[in-house]
Amino acid sequence: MESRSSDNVLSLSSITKRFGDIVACNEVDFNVPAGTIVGLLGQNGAGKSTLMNIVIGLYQPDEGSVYVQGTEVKIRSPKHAAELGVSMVHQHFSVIEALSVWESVCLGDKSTYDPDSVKDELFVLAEKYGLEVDPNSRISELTPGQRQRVEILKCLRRDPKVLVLDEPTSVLTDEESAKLFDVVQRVVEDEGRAAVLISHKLDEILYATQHVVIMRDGRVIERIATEDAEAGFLAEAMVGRKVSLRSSGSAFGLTEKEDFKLDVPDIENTKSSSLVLRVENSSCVDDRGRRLEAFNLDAFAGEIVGVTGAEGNGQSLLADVLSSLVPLDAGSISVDGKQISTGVSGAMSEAGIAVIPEDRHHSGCALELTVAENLIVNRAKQLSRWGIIRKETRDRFVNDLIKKYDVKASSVEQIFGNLSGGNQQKCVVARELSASPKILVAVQPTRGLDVGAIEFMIEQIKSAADNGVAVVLISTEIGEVLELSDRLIVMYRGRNQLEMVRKDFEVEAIGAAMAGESR
Amino acid sequence: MKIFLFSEKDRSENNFFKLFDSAYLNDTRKLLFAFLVLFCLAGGLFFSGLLVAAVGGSPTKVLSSLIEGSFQTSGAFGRTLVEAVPLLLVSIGVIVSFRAGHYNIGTEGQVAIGALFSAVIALQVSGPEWFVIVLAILGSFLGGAIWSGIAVGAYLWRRVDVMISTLLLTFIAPNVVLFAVSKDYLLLDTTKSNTRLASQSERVPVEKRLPEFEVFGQELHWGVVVAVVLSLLLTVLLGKSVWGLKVRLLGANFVTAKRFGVTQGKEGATALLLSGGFSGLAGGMIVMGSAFRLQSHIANDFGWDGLLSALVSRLNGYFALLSSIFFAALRTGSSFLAATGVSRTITSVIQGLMVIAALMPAALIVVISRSDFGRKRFGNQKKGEDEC
Ligand SMILES: Nc1ncnc2c1ncn2[C@@H]1O[C@H](COP(=O)(O)OP(=O)(O)OP(=O)(O)O)[C@@H](O)[C@H]1O
Ligand SMILES: [Mg+2]
Repeated sequence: MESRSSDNVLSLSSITKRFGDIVACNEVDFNVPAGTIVGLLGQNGAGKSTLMNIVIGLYQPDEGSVYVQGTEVKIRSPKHAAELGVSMVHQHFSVIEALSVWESVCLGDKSTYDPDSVKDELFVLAEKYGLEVDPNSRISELTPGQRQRVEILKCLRRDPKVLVLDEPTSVLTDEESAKLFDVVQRVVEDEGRAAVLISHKLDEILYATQHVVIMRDGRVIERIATEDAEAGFLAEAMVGRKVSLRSSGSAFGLTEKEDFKLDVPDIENTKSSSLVLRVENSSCVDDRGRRLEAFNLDAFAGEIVGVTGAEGNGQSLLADVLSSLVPLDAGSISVDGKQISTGVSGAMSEAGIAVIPEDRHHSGCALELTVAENLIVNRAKQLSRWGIIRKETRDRFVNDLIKKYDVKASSVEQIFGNLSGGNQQKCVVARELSASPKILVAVQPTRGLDVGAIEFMIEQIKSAADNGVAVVLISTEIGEVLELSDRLIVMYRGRNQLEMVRKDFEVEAIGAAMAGESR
Repeated sequence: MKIFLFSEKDRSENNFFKLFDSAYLNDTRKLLFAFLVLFCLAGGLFFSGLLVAAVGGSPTKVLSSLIEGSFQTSGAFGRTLVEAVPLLLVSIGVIVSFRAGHYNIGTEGQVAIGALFSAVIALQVSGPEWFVIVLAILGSFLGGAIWSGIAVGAYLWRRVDVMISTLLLTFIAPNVVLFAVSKDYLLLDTTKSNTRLASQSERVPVEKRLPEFEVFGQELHWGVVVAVVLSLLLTVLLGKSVWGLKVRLLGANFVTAKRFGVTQGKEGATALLLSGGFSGLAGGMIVMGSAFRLQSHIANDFGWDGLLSALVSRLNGYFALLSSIFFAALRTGSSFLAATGVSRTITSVIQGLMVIAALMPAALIVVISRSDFGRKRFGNQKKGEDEC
């Protein structure tokens, strides 16, 4: 390979990787020059994570070679990769919940360690990069943003030459993302390392990277210097068709929110439609310290209520309550005027509340079951006769969903955990929407989806609302909330800080409310 | 044990027992697995041979007597099948509970209590014979279910770890049985034949035993049919029914399960009770079909062997049919070996060696597929399976 010179810290040449019939990577050449951040773009299931899992030694390529600093290597395991100077922050968290921060960080070290020196080391690193996190706290107590910090610290502690970030910002708030890129840029520019950034947020790619590589169906179809690229072009190259600017705009990340333009306010007269969901004076605290305090929310049929706020102000707890995972200490939840008992297994879903959860691996799916089984868990009864699930009916139903939502799966019997992250998300959304719920609680519903899929999902959510579903959209991506909601609630420390209808939307007031200032 | 340090969620994700899950095997690994099974069994036989040679026996006799004693001599195959009945029942129960994410490892105790229940009914209830037989078998199921029910109760009430409570109950069960068979107002055999008043019950009268029948010259009893039918039924239900999906969902991700109304209290408890019931049933089959009388060690390792047989089958109900026959053959085969003059202690060791040999492939396949050679050849880990 002519492009393979020693100033590429990492270089992949004609990498092919198959899973059964699926060719996840097809003769991929990929170079990471020293001192640069390379963006890796592609549709869901294009093979990005697979390619990087090869680099990190989780998978062995079927063909092709890997070069680190000009010498060919065979990367045997993540540990070996770390020794060679390649570290990765995975798309899905790989930290163990029951461990403490410092334990997670040195898990997998080959030598013995001494807690105090690890903590000191962590302290120095955290100081240096501004990634504060308490080394003694347990992972299970951390917010997603903090967990990610732990993963990044874990990587940096190993002093990597190449840092691979697989959709790192999908769980982060905008500020956290900005901070992350700050750190990555510093690490790369000042310290002469390199980084690979996988992301579906085009503006992040444009903001942070020097080169962009675009994959589709396992092949590299485009390589371009970032300065020559613009969002529309990238989106089109990736998806293979024109994507409406609006939906690429909802893959918001770092662009200035002040520029946000409202389209014609299309508020419906909510008074005339019926009240479906009422969350009244609800309070609770869970063992992670998340809390709701006298929180109120009404959702009417056919409207989209946005719930936003800075991460950790009770939104995720609200979603968990509506998933029947957490009981309320006080207050009530009623659907169609009927009170629903909280924290009782299955009660919310029985009452017609569908949930697209924040962390799909936590409460959205079962990784070891098949794609078909995951898609039917909420309707197994309907597809069965005498308690036995009818295979043809099931497969017809599942295949319809797979087709409609464009899920890339090798068969309905594929193990769910082997789907790409975005395709897992599509399945969760497909299942929840297919249950024709009365209420849809969508928490960051477009997390991990590519721009094309986002466009489609947003259409689906809107049309659900048009068909009379009350949608509660919980998101920290304020762009998404502003674009979709008819009404908006800002949460702060578990309370209603601000409520606004669409025609009054005002970015400054929302920002102030998120920071806890009351008007 | 390290497992206990993890939170519930981690436990359901990073569990050691997942290694025994057939979902772990992809196609290339299946071939490797088959090879490893043969290789390990051969290894087990080799070491057994060495052992016999070391105590002055003939090493070549080991394999031939094992086979002769379990399959070849007249009626041996029938005896092996009868021996396989309790093993199969225990295995199926274990599979159901493991799939639900509850690790019932107290099968040995549940077998004993099941045996106790059936003995009480068979010896003390009067009525038409068929009625007593059916009642005794149902009673054994109930007995096992009650014994695992104690663990279920403790779990639901105070979240006591099922793995620990079922295990500890195993040590209590034989004492309960011993108590019953050593008190003359309970089951102690006070007839003349038991002059030394050994702690055992009377024999179940012939007409109250499981009816026998003969095929191809092999003596079988109806328990064989019952066990096979029940295990196939349960395997199909687990794989294809709504209930089975719920149980497996619970084992795979109990948080998601909770959202869809699948609970530890309902599906989880049912799975555990069923599992205990099946072990109890195994005890019933032993009393009513082969031992015919109750003693404190009535379970005689059937519970443990059944547990191992379930693991060897990789929690697959169809393979459990085969693995329980294998374990049964080891039992009958080593009895035969003992009869040829090899000492009982040695045959026990040989039996143990072969059990280890049968369990080895599951461990080896992990080691191999994580090695350099294995990664290249035998494919992929599931994502994140062995991240450091
Ligand atoms: N272990 C596996 N077994 C079988 N198929 C797999 C496995 N890992 C990945 N695949 C398949 O390979 C393809 C590429 O997956 P990959 O995870 O690399 O996609 P991706 O580009 O990261 O997508 P996303 O943006 O959704 O994360 C998918 O079709 C996926 O189903
Ligand atoms: Mg991915």
